[in-house]
Amino acid sequence: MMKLNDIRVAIGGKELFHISEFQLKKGTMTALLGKNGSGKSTFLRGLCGFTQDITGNIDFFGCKMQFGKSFRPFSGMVYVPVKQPVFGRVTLLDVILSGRSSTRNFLDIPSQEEKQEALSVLEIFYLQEFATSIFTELSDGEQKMGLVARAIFQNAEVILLDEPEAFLDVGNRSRMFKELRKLADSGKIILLSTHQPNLATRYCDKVAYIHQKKLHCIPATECSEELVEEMFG
Amino acid sequence: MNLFSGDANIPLQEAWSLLWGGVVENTSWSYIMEERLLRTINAALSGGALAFSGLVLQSFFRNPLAGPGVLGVSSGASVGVAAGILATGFVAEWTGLFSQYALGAIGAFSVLVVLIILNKWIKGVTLLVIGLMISFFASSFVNLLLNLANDAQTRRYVEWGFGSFSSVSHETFGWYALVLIAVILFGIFYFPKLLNAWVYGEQQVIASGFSLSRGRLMIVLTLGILITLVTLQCGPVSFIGIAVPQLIRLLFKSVHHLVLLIASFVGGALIAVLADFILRNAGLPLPLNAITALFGAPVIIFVIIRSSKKQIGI
Repeated sequence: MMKLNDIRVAIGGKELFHISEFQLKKGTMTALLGKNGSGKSTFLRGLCGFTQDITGNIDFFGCKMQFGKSFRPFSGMVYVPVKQPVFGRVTLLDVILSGRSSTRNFLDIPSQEEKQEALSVLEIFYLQEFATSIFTELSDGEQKMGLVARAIFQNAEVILLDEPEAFLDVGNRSRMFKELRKLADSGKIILLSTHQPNLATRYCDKVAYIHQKKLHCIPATECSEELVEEMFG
Repeated sequence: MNLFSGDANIPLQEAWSLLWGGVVENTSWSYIMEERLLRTINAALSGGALAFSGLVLQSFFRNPLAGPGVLGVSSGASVGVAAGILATGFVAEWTGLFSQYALGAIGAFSVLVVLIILNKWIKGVTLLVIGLMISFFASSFVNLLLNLANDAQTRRYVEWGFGSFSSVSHETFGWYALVLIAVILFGIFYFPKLLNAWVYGEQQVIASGFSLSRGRLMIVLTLGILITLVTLQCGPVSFIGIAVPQLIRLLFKSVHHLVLLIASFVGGALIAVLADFILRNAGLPLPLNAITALFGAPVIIFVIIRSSKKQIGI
């Protein structure tokens, strides 16, 4: 279980929102809703230690830490960005394999088994034929699915996703959410930001939304259209 | 090849036996062979170190046009050299030499640190332009310094600026080679995972278990030492640091930095020895930088044309 306490998300001294308490249980999938610029991405990136714009306490499966300068990221947590910048002629397979670099030594040489596993992860999104394609030459949607495949390959306990539906066509959107649901059902914790309330209510257990600078968490079944209108109104 | 060519025509067989400590009839040959051998080792190590540094800079700044020369790091070192040469008029020879190295290092390190700090906000071409501006700033500063210099000092600086692998001092070369080899070996072991992560951006560096500040520190230290040493020893050798890593990226399918780092070092060494070979056999008193530019500039133009805007991210 992952517990967050007294979290403040603030950029340049301006507070975006506050969380008094937020719990994420194993096997659950939670959607994070909020207007553009409400601080969703900053919050997710802050949980991984990528930004110091958040303060507060985290209890990660019993390991307690405080956000700030001395924060050390948990290896059991992975973040999937909206888009991944890449320099050089890196292939999709290279991208997938980079998911486990923290487990390798300085020379960073993946084993044959890892390569096999990476290829099988690509099959989830029918991307195996693009394994040796140059990542930057793939379409935005293919890149996005590749990034989620990398997160799956990393085999982390907690998967944070920034708009997993971005760039995807209608068919791939529902496939994406179905796969994430499967992951949650296998015992992972999934937290994703999204601008698709209908996908959130359909596949997620809970909906957390940012309203008047506070994070509110409700069961997905209670997320009515009126509430969504209020959130974004 | 570089060993066996030159004005003194030493028979191949004799030259070979000399290399292995054999005795030959003409004793002056042994001296010439030693000179050529040192010069070749110097070219190989220095060229390799420049290409190695260029590769690290390109991956770190995620910019294919980064290099020790373009970013102004070599220029930072040349301010130190100018000041050092100037100082030799007033202080003992060894103090002058020491101050050259010390000031050169300060110059190169401060440019690296400034660039890495600026890189938080400024990326891509803009950073390269800043690097070029630093170069201009450094060279006008050097010009100001040279106003104070006498003719001999000015000539020494200008000759140094042409670049050359020939000025090898027997006493210090062993140390020079040892430090370069040690730093490069360290880089080959420490950098692959770090740079493999860095091509995906800083978030991936953190996710791979590195501390960003530690990673930056290691890169600054390693490159600062390499670029300072090579620039002071051989002058501001242009294009090897930027063009060789590009060629390596074109030639090798792998993007793994263990492969790229070793290949860049070997490639840089080969190109540098080849450039030195051409220089010695051209029959003209050409500056080294003329040869490297002749080879390097077309490579860079080719790379710019070949890379789509998206790929190189500028």
